Amino acid sequence: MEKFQTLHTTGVPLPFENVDTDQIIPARFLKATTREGFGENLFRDWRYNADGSPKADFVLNNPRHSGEILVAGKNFGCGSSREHAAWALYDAGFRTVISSYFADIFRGNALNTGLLPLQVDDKVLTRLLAAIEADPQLELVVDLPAQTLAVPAWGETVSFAIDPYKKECLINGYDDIDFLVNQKSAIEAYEKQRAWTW
Amino acid sequence: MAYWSTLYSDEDAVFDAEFVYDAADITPMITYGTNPGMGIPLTGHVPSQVPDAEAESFDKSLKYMGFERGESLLGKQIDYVFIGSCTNSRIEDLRAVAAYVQGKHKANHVEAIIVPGSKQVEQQAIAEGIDKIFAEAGFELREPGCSACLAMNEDKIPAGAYCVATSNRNFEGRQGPGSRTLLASPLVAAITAVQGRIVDITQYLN
Repeated sequence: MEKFQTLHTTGVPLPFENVDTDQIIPARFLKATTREGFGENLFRDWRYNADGSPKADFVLNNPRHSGEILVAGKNFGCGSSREHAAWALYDAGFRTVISSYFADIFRGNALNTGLLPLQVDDKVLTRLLAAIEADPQLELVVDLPAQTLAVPAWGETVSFAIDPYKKECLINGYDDIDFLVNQKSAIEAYEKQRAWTW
Repeated sequence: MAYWSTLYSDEDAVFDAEFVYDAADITPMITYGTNPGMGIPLTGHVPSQVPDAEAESFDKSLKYMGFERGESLLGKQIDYVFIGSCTNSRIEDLRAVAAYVQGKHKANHVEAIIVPGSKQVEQQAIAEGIDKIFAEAGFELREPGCSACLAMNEDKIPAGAYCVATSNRNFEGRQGPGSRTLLASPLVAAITAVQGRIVDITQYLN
């Protein structure tokens, strides 16, 4: 997993609530054994017509908008639990999703993928969505160690919460397994001193 | 029940919130939108008012479903009925469906499929002869699996078609690109398959 420290980029607005994992990556594209390649089908049925031609009115097909942060409505990532949703966003180049609420399982999957789920309050989210619509070049700066999102054009910085363990993992580029493997010497030392009872 | 009654909260347990429901107050429900929370009583109406912040998502959802704010779903023609998924295809569900459809037949224009929750449920249904009741009523018994809940195999609902499904997922395209899902209980699904449209089931019970 890639390390996440800071991110200096623009945002892509998706002003819908309850974006579910079936929209993020439809089930028919889940047949793969690695994490790569899902970005191609990210938001497949919102992004492309049945014949594969792009839908001009979908934001990912709009040349005005680009960037590594997806800014989406409340309750992002709800619905079926599928890691592929986080993988698809990551594979498509996103490194952060900003919303005013994340479905729990999506939040966990994102953190284990190196994708930061950054939760702000509803008011900040509404302002951000409007500001990005008005100015797609609006700079956004995420500072994970400081747990802040800065919008330089506003002269404002907002703080966000993150589980301290997952923060450490993201900063170091660890998923849960990497974290455990990294503790190997401590685990081995513990096993040596432990009196086995069987 | 004896075992269940041994599973209780500590007397001094503290809850964030407590909700009390009387099951008798809950009438048969159906969903009209594209997330499981968008549900109404069968005889109710699609909400006509929603908070401003939710309006864009709400109207997007209704447009996808082909429904209008404030309308009743009663009388809407249904093309498919899917009784299955891990949510609602226990042997008890299949028995309830069989008890209703015995001696009846699905509507001609409806494609009705039943997918047992597991191989074990399928075997039990066959052992009880329920499979024959389904066959006579025109319901197709298919292999246990995710089937039309997820649309990863060939069990897909075509674009624009309406499906009453007993799963718990009704997101856009969930049952195939463009498919329109209305979630309901197995009994509501069975009655819908026979009537071919959304009805007030209390008028059609055996």
